[in-house]
Amino acid sequence: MQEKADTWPDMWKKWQDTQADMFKDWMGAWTRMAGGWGQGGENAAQRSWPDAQDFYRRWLEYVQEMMGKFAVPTQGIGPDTFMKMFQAADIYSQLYALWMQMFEAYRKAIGEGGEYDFEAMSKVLETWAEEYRSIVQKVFAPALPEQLQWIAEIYSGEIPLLASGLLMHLWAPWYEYGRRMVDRGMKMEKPSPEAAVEVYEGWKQAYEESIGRLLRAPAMGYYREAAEKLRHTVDSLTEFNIVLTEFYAEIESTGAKSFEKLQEKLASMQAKGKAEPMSFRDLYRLWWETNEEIYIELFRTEEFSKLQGQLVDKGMQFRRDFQAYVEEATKELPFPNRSEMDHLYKAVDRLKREVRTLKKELKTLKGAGGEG
Amino acid sequence: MFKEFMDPKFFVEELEDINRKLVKGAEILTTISDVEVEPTPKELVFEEDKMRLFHYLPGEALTCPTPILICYALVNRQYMMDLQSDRSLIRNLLGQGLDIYIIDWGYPDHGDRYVTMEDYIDVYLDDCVEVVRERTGCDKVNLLGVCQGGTFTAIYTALYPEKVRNLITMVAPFDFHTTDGLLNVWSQYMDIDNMVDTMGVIPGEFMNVGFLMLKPFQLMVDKYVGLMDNLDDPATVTNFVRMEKWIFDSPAQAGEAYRKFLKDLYQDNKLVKGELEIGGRRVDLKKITMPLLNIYATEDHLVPPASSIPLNDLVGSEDKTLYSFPGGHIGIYVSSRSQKELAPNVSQWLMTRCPEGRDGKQVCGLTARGIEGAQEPKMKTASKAKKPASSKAKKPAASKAKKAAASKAKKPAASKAKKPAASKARAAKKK
Repeated sequence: MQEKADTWPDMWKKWQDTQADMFKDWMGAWTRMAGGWGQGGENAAQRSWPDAQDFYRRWLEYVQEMMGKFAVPTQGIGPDTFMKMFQAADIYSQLYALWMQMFEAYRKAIGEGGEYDFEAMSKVLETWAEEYRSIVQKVFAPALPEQLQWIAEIYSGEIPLLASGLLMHLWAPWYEYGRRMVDRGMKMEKPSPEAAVEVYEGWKQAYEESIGRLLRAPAMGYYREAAEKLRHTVDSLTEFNIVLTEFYAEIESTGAKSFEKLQEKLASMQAKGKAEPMSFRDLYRLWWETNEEIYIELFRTEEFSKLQGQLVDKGMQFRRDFQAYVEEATKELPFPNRSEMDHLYKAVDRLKREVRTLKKELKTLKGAGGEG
Repeated sequence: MFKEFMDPKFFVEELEDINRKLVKGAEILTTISDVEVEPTPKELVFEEDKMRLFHYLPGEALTCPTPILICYALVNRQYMMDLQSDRSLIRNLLGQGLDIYIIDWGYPDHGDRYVTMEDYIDVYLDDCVEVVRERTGCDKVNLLGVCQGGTFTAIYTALYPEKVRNLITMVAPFDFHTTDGLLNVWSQYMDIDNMVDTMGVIPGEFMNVGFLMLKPFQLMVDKYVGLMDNLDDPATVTNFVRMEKWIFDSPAQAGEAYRKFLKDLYQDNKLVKGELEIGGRRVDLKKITMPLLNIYATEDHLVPPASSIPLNDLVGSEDKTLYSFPGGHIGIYVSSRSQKELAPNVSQWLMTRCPEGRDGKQVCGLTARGIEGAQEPKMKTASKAKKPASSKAKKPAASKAKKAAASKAKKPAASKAKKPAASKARAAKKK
């Protein structure tokens, strides 16, 4: 009892001191943070958030100490639960710090001159993955029996690194594409069909090197079939859109040609002395007739016919893939799908033909019988 | 440069005119509830699956007892021939005393994806011919095929010549390898199997996109701008809406039939090569030996003249006429010129080849009043018509047809025909 009586004033003082320190830390952290972020630039996060983390750490240590003193007995459901809670909080804190580091490194990598430094990011990732590994081990390792400790090892080591690397590889083409588009904007390029195709070609390349690779990879797991079909659908829709862009580019560039032709016609009319005022109606007629003429010229070319054929083919591919996906995704619903109906139609068609043939034979037989 | 800017009075007048038309047009368009088509009375006499056979109620005493069976295309609806009472080829033909049956192919749906070209020709068309023969007591019918229906009737006639007295084809394609038509060009680059395997039946809307692209600015822009000019005229607006209804009332195409039509005809041109097979039988156009009237439209953008004309050189008929009609694929039915010329010429042509009914004798259980002194119609033959824009030099069939038409044009177009033998003799003489 005496021991406890001595403890209370100490604890009370300690609590007051801690609160005062924490308040100071807290105020300091906020001041620096506001200043740090306000100034921006390199290491802004490092300049501010470590203090905030100190504040959090101090609070955590204090609570752990207090709880340790109150924890009587020191084992059992209550203390274990508290201990796990605080361990989790600690891991949370470490993870948070780790992500902040990552964020800062990433910001630095793309911040300087807008160049994405692949090598630098890879190094950051390696370090990051190493720290991540130790954190994850803290989470999983104690929870696993000794024989299964290797699991924590796997999930904390190579896999996150590989996953991060993969993400970087997937992200890089889009970054490169975005940079090229920004360059285009800076150069104030005139919109043209060729430019549209180039933009889309760039998009296609980025897609092929990133999401396209993912989409074409085999799916696994319970939802495998539907996922596979959905991926094919998205992929074929993209391919359709690529040809559609080419198609529209042809149409647009022919529109430009038509306009030039119209200008030529108007200039020629003026040169021939037919420069008397014309009505909107006359101009409109000249406009649409010129367009018709130029477009029909385009439509007659083998190139256009081939492009149109490709467009239809890609459209059909998308439609087939989409139907396959819809059928897979809705197979549990209480109505028949198109393939099932087609199967029935086929059966009905065969039966109709059989009936028709049999009727004909019957008629012939009846005729023969009558004659006989 | 613009008159509107340089002449304020003109500008104000134009503006006033447009506004007046818009207001009146809005009034008209909001009071039209729907448009009626197919005004000529008819009765359903036979149906099979989605196909229906109608018989037009005759208004006049028959001039020719041999019934005429009209086979329209699978694309679009047969009521183009009877769009409205003052623009009706059917009504005009009835007025000439003909007995008319018409096939309505209906609207194929997914259940019809396995319907083949053989089904259309060997089953539906043949069954209709049988029904007409049975109903009229005539052992032969006159067949009139329109557009794709013309191709079908030519194929049918080659397979069943014993059932056809006279063959008339209107704006029908036979030589599919002409480059005059965009459809002919585009179809060479289409993967038809891919389309049919994927869609099953080919939607009418899909077909319409292709048709609109044949004349994109005229059909998608100027047509509607033209309507603006006539918005204040109720009759014009109603007629326009009626035509719009027909244009976009487009049945889907049964997949298997579409596959064969496009691959064997459009892509491989098997009909003119003599390689087409229907139900395992080769289609030999030389087996068409009865009188043939082949009508084409000089400005046809869907079925160019170069595609229609070659039939006359491919058939075995001695009595064959190539009739060149000035106008387009649709104008041939609805233009005012068509109302005045086409039906009289077609019926005259039939009269001279329908000898049994001309003397008021009872034939096939019917008494035809006949036409006193029926004559060969005065119709423009190919040589007088505008030449087709261009056609492949490699296509001998087309050029031969032109030569044939040219030689025919040198002879008198019309002559009296009192009996069939005379008609045949005249045809032979022409050759």
